Amino acid sequence: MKNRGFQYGVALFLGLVALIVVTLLVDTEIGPPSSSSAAHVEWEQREHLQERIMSTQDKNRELEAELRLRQSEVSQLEEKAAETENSLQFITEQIEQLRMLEGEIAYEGPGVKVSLDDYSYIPEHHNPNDYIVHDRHVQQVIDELLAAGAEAVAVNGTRINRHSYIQCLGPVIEVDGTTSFAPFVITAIGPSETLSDALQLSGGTADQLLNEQIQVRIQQVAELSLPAHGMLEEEAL
Amino acid sequence: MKARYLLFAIAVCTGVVGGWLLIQPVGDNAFEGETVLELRQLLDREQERALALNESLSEYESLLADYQHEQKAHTAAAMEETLEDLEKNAGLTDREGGGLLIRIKPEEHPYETDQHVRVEHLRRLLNDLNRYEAEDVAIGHERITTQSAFREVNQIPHINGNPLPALPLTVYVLTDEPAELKSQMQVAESVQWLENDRANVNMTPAEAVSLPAFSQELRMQHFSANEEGEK
Repeated sequence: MKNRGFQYGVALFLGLVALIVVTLLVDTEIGPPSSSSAAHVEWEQREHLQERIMSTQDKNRELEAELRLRQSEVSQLEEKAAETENSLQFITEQIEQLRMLEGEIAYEGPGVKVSLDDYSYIPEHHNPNDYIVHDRHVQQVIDELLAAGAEAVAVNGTRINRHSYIQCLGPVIEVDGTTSFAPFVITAIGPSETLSDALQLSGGTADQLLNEQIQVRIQQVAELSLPAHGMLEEEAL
Repeated sequence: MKARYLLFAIAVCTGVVGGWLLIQPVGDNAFEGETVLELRQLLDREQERALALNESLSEYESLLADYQHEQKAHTAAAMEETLEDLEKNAGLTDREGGGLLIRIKPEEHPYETDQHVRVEHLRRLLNDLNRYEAEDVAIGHERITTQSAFREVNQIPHINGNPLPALPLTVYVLTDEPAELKSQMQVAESVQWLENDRANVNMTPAEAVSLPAFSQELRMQHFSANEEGEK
């Protein structure tokens, strides 16, 4: 029995040794390549860039939080002013609404969620480019929604405003500098039934997109939250 | 004996797997597979975002200072000013300033009198103008707002629900850098599209470009009252 205990010990020890050996092996693989200098330079560049990206992202998160705080302080003061003076009530409301509309602050309300996805089945000898979502498809949906009464629109969580641009880079779509892949989810606040009906008119936008080999899904949503422009999404749509 | 080997094998496997898990880099992996160029672009974008955030932050801070330090009567005045700024930015007022005039004319066609541009090309044109940071745009008499829809109805381009006239058509652009914008737009894809569609595009920087106000009401009926902006 004593012998058995000893064997357990040896097995455990060997296991630990194996762990350390593997650790060292993998470590050297991930570390900077020491021999070839070109690879080393690139590795250093990447390391340096990654650090800067991460620290800028951290800083941006802090800035966002601070901006939100200032925004709520400003609207608190505006509301307080409106309380003491009735004539300011109207102005306060208008200020708030225009800020929501222009995407300075989030916009919440009912609406629709439209998702566009690349066609999953590409027949042989066909150009895959004919089966992916392009910027013009996203744009077409946005225009149709706006024409049908949408008040605010976002694409994959990026709020669209009057300065927005949408651009196709292969399978990636860039909206105001933020890139994302399919499926592209377009969210719009407005009269949800009218918006959804407008897209599904016979021969309308949804039919046209289907004809262009795009998968379209339209959903009415009771409560949506579109983030402020340039802000990260606070919660999943 | 067999049991002992089995135990031994299990211990070694646990060690290897454990070691592997320990080693997996957790955070840095986010950038795996991206080229140095892509990383640079990502850094640029994040830095631009920092700039934009800082700008809005200082706007709100100066507003806060105005509200806090001024007397009641002044607070009202400051709020009216805020509203005016917001209305200006939303496209609800006429604007005039330095900028660029983009004239879209038909190519010489003696037999075709009512040539229209495709609305898709106008959308692309606006996209390019925005990419190069134009400040404000009107296409014909239609001021571009956050809610402007571009659509084709019976092959006639409509913006803001109104039909655009046949060519020639002028696009009015406000910008601080008209010459720079012109040189960027001259090679823009949207201009090529227009020209491929038998239109001539002419751009001239101008000292006084005037843009009409958006003449309708902006739609704002479906927002839920949302206390304190957002939380």
